[in-house]
Amino acid sequence: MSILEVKSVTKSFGGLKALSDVTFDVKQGELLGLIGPNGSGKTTLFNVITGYYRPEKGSIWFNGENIVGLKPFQIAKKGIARTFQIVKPLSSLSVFDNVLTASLLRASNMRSARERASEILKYVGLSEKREAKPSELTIADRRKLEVARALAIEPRLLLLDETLAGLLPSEIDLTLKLIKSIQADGITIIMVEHVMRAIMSACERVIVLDHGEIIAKGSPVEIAKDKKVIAAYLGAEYQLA
Amino acid sequence: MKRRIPLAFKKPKRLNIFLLIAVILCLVPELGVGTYVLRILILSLVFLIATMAWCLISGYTGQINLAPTMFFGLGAYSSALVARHLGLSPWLGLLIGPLLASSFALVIGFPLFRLHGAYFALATLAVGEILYYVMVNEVWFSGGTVGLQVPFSPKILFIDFNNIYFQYYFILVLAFLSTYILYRIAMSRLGYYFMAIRDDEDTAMSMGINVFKYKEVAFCVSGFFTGLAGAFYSNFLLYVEPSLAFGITPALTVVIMGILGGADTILGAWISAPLLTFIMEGLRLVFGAAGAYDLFTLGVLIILIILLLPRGLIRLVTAAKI
Amino acid sequence: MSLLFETLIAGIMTGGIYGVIAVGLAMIFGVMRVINFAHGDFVMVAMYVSYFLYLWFNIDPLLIIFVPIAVVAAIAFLVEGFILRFSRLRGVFILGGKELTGLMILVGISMVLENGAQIVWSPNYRSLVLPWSSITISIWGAKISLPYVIAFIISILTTILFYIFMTRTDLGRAIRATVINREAASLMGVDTDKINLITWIIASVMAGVAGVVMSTLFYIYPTVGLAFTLKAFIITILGGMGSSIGAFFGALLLGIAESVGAVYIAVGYKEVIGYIIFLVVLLLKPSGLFGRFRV
Repeated sequence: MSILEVKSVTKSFGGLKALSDVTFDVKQGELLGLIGPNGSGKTTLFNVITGYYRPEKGSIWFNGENIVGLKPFQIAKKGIARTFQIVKPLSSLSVFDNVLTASLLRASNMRSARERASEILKYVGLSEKREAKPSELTIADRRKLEVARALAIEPRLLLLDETLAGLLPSEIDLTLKLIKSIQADGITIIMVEHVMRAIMSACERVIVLDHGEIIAKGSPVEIAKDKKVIAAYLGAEYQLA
Repeated sequence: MKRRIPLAFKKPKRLNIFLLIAVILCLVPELGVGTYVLRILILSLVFLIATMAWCLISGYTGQINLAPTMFFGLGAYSSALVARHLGLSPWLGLLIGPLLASSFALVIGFPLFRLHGAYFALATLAVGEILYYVMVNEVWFSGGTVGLQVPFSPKILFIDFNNIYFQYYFILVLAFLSTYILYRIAMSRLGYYFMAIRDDEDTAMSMGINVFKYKEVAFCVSGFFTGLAGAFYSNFLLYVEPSLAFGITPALTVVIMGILGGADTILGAWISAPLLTFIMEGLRLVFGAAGAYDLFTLGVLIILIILLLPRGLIRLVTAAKI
Repeated sequence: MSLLFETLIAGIMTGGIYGVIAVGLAMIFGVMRVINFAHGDFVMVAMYVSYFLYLWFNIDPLLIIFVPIAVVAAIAFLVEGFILRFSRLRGVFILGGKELTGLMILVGISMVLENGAQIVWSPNYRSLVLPWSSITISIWGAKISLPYVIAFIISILTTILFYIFMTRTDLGRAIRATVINREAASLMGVDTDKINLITWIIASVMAGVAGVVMSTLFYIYPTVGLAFTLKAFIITILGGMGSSIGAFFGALLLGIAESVGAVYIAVGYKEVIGYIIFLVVLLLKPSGLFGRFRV
């Protein structure tokens, strides 16, 4: 069962084609990896899916509905949440208030919103830091905050944009654990990453983007051997025979 | 390198201080302060309401309105125009003014909110100037620069609109009501949404917040209360003319009061509005009404505030969301 | 027909002067992302200095143009070098951040300048009547007052000099680099603090030139600055923030619109025309008529 179907999405900026005829689907409950060299269009794809950019061509089907043309807040309401590659917390609000503001979407009153926010902070492991301002947090904690905010809107599909970048190996392990438990709770996840061991170990399927085009789809093992993928990352000279 | 400002107020204590201030204000006329001081207090309360309303849209929601006079002026002129063209009691302006101002906010918000940051701020200035010139030029409608007189209202039973004591209590009640409503709004889910919009619109949208809708909500609420202040103002002065209602002076006064008190607070205005009104009045006494000393001082003040105490005077007392 | 022509010419002439003001404002915005709310007041100060120089020493302001310019440049130096810099160093910003903090500080400075002028020099309207003020010359049949023509020529010269400076000198290139990408420029060795200061000084010099020239044409009074600032801002938007060529053409357009509007629509709404065009352009094409961030 596909929760998300992206069909022939094309997005250009001026003369530059950022996404070219991108087609793939995401199965309900899976942890899908999305990789590709820098500038291949991964974040653009996220922005298109979540409504920040509008593609010139193509359609995106979420729960049987074409969401192209909807505004980001509408898409959030429909159940797609995302984190930002460069974290964008609400800087003047505390960690708790950040998550609270997000929980207000689904909550019927302030009290239940507050309860939900507390739960989520506990879930991601930020409870002790609830009164801190985002600027006072470590990078790992800021990432957790992004995830917490995304979870607070009770999404069915979660888009994680390089959540593991720049983290220490121990932090990566912890964050991966968190991501897996989110998946275990029934939330479908698309993960953009450069940290290959995370992709390899956690994802069942991986999609590879290069210059706005999908060049490979398959299991981690398959795409690791894929010649086009190797060429994209390392250059054609490195292709093994 | 932040200094932690101690939480001077916890909820119950905050209420007590507020009650204390409320009681004192209610008793002021009994203290025999005289009509002159009473007049200044009334003026401060008018500006207080306008300032709190400004803080909601500019401080909480981050959309800096450099011409709150667009609402203030509409409110002020409503009373005068209602009397002049419809022959009704000018105090009806207190109903019509806020409604007119918030409707205007709704309509003008559509074009204005396409802009962000400083562009928005300057666009509001342009709107304010346009309204000013319309009022100056359409003499048949507004009386031009000569202005309009607001006629005396009749006495209804014990309600004597022209008695200064009544006016004082009336504006005091309006001030308390406005404070209560605006404060509750700021503390509610709306307040969080406003702040989210201020801090990061993209993030706000990713949280399911309809940014444009909530900007309009903040703008209309701000317009409503600013219009209310304006409507009272012209009834109080019994006169209205373009520079009084739509001019740069009242506009910047409100803005500076907002920043001085604490732009991202509602209650901060309770410190800055009376303080500045009395200072400006004092300057007028010393240097004469014609001088530009009051605005000069305001200018110096805003520079100092932003350099030294950007988060406003109320932050000297509490760091809480207020 | 000749009325229309005269109106157009007059509009172009004033447009040229507006252009000088606008280019300075656009430059400050381009380099520092701050809107100099007090820009028009720099013009005002220059106007007053020219006025008094003539009043006291009977020297034609155009001959002694560097004095008002120096005064205005000194003010700009104080504003950027001390006040704005202090605010940036402190790192505490109000509301939306650096942009708006700078804007509000400049609002304060504008108020100080305007009302300071009013206190010292009274709100009375002054005008500078020079021996050559009332000469009119004929251009293709249209009668244009000489001060306008001289003002226009000086404005064009100033704009050309500015353009040459920005494109042919190292300093000019450094400034343009900072406009395009502040961080990158700094990484490439551009001293951004120095650039900030130089930008302010150049912009204020241009405002000063505009002021001297304006003093021969218009009434001089303390609050004349606000209108200039708003017009300059409108022009920068019309031309696309950061594009000096765009600003120049935007200026001409505004001058013509005002002139035509004053003659054919209603005199009282002359100022408003600009504001309405402003709002309309902002709504239709927020990045201005010429797009963004080029010189």
